[in-house]
Amino acid sequence: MENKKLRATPAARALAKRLGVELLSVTGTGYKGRIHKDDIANFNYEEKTHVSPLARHIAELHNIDLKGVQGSGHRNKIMKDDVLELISDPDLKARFTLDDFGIVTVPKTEQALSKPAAEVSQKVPATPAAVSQAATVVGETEKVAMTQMRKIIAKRMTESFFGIPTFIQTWEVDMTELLALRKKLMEPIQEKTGKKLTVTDLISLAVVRALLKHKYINASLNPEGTEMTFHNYVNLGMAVGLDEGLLVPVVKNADKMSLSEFVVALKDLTERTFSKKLLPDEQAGSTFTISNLGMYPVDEFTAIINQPNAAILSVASTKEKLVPVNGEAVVRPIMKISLTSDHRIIDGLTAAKFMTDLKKLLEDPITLFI
Amino acid sequence: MENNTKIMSVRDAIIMAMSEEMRRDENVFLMGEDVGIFGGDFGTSVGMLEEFGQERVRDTPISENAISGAAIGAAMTGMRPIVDVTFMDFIVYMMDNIVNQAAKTRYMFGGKGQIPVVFRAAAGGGVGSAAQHSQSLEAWFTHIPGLKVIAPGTPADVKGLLKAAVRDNNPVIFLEYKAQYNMKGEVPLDPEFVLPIGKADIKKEGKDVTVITYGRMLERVMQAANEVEEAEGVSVEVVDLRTLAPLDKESVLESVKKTGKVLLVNDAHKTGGFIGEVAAMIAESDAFDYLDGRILRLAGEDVPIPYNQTLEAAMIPNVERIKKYILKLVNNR
Amino acid sequence: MAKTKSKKSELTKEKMLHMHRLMLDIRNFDHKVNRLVRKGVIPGMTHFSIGEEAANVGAIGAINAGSDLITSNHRGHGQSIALEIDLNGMMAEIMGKATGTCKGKGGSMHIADLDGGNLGANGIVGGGMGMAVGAALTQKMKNTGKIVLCCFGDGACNEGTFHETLNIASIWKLPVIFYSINNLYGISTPIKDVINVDYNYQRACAYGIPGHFIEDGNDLLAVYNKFEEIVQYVRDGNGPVLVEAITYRWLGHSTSDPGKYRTKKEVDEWKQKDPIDRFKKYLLENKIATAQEIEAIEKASEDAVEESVKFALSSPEPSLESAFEDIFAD
Repeated sequence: MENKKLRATPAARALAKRLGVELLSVTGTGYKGRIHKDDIANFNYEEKTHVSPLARHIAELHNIDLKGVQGSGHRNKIMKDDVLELISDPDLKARFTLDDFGIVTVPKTEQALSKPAAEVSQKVPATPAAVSQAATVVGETEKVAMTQMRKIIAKRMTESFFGIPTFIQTWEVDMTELLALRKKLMEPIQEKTGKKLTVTDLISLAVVRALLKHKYINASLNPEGTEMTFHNYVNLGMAVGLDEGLLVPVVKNADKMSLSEFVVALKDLTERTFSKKLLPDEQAGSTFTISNLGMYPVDEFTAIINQPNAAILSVASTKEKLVPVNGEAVVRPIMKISLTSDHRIIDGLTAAKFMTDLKKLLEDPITLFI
Repeated sequence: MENNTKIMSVRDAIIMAMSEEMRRDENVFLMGEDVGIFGGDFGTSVGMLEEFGQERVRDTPISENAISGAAIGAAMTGMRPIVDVTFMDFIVYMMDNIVNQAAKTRYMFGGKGQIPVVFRAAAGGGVGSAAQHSQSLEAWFTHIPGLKVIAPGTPADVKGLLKAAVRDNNPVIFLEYKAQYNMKGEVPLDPEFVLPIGKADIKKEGKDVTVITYGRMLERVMQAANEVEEAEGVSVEVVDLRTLAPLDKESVLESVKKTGKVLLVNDAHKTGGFIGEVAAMIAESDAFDYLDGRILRLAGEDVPIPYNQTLEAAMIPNVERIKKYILKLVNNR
Repeated sequence: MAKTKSKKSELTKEKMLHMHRLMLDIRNFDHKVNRLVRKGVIPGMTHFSIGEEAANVGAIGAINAGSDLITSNHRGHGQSIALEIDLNGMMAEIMGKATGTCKGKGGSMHIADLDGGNLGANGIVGGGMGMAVGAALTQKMKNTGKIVLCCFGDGACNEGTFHETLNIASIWKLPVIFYSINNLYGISTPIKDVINVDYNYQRACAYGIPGHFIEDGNDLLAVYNKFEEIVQYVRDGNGPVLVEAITYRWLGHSTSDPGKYRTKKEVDEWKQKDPIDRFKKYLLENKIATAQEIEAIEKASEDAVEESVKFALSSPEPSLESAFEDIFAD
């Protein structure tokens, strides 16, 4: 069998490079397995169509389209026998064969007549080995190997957790003024940017402001822990939870942004994080990270530092509490924020000073304009 | 500019264009075989002898060499002749005067002199006139620096571009298609309706596939594009080149970058045909990185045009094949 | 504009000396260019008019230089100089310099001077004939009273274009003089081998136009007088004319021609009939000019040619960008 070169269109190659997708992992839907742009765009790290080289070769010879077919090999890999079985059945073969123009040679109406759709679709009968494996299990389990993404997150978390001596400070913030300010700014921001202003946006802005006055909190430490880097700018990382795992898009130069600019930037990054169109460049270079679980009724929590940052801010939910104000008990919206700091470069006093400033900005947001 | 338009045939658009230009500038005149009392081999100068007289609607002997030479000499000395070549196949007799004289004179004389002449040629087949009367030879002329080559595909474009060709101060090869002289379309009546030479036109906007074409095939491409959109939901963008030389590279590349999938269609033979030039231009440009499929060409077969009508029809692209090629790209073949 | 009937102009001493000077210019210029080619200073193809001076100057002497138009062929030096093109510009053009008449982009075969009525030399045999007919058509359509002198050789008379253009000029009665300068050879083929009549002027009857014959094309006055007659005829609107003059080129077809097809004896015989020597003799014998006057003209001609070489050698080469210019008119 020949050593075949990978077929991929220029557009596909360009997109793969941008998204950091390895071409060899992608199954192409084009002629002779050619990879097209959509194949990259639709590529999901978890769903790889596995085909053995021999099976692929045989399928190409017979102009068979293997899209969606599940094989009998490891992780549903399509093996030679699966393809041979498929093409030995003239009916099945006709339904998977494409002509030169990529059009299925057997028209759809005939397909419907010959076999019921559900049975036809994608399954190839299981081999004996697969059947026997299922028989000895008592209850239902699902074994899923860690995805590439999960593996990377796991590694980073472990390194951070075990590598950094941390301490945590939790502070309470009275959100009355901030919430009121938000109400006032909703319409103007909506008008200017077409986007909804969130509490996160305002908290972020306060954090950025405070960071500029506390260089140790906005610093980075190299992996060996021997060199500190101070930044006179703020690249704000915002942790975003997906089903597949955690991603941290970074708003670059958040210190230079107005509120409306920040709103647009963060919204755009978040959207693209969910649609998996985030560029590798946009996940790197943060100087500080915020982890916001305020949309859930969590009282407080402490996130793990996103290396090489020196600290991370955990934002919990805002809850109505009874608090004493001037000796009187009043109900106020109270939010807990926690700062996890790297004790190698940040000590208690530094952290406290930062949090004092931050609290002031959050409780008296007018001061953001000073 | 007036907004009046009228439905008229390509033939009528040609008569209108030439007549308007001859009224506007007394140096413009028409010469060729049977252009006078006969009204042109394809009826493209009917009525003009009566309006302009035999000095300016000038019948010639069957002497393509002398006709083309005289046109060029007249153009060099202040006149603005339009030459009716009749069948494009006969332009072969005019090659020396067009290629060695008209195209090069200004350059060889270091920028002195100009040759404002238009050679109108009836190209293509589809009328059962067989091999020596059915050729589309535009590719030869696009290869010669110093010539402009125009091949419009609608009556309005024919009028606007023929007027532009007459007003241009350089030798222009203007293709008309025999099979389309009767084709009707809306044409602006404004005598100042002049289209720019060297600018393509997006006849249909789309986002899935780009089809680049010109001349006679435009009509078929449009039909194929509309049908494939209705039946399969494929959104086709149709780029009508209109001018082949100088080529509107920008419009072509913009569309290629937009869709990533390209089909080129013309009726001339595939080998050495003009769409090969466009394909190469796309492949070497920075639009290459946007290509999401092969650059496909659909052209006339590399055979002399046969006499039998069925055979002839099968030798050039038709709507069904155009649709198939569009789908080929859409299906990533 | 009404056509005025042209009168036969008086052949003044001034005019005769002027024509002698032009013949000398042609001779000196071409000799110089020949030497420069052999030295490797001038590249490319050049074709010399040495020996044909009278045929050129006599004819052009009879037209209105600067108003009437001419087209030329590849052997166009004689015609261009007879039409008094700027020698500096012409030498510079042959050397391919930016100061040449065509900015160095045309060379010897495409020398032109549109302002002076010279529609250009042509690299295609017969290539100028269509153009001449077209130019004449313009003059007729616009009633300018100007005529076109179309110069070509004996070889061109067998090109299709010769027949087509004579025919079309004859039916439209165009003011063209079709002038065949017959130097007896088309590169290496003698005229006898390529036509079935004795001379090309005889073909005029096929087109119903007058055919004139100048048996001794090296006799300047014979050429001039015949042309005076013809120019009058054509300018009066009688339609085209074919005229043929017999002459001889001393050098090969071009610089790369050793001339194996002619005998040395034949070449020497023709050199005896040198048109310049003969006219000089005529001027002296008829006391039209003195020896000193003629010497002065000879020297002036040599100086002018030297001057043109100096000018051309010191002129700059054209820029690379200029190769992309002048393709289209705006």
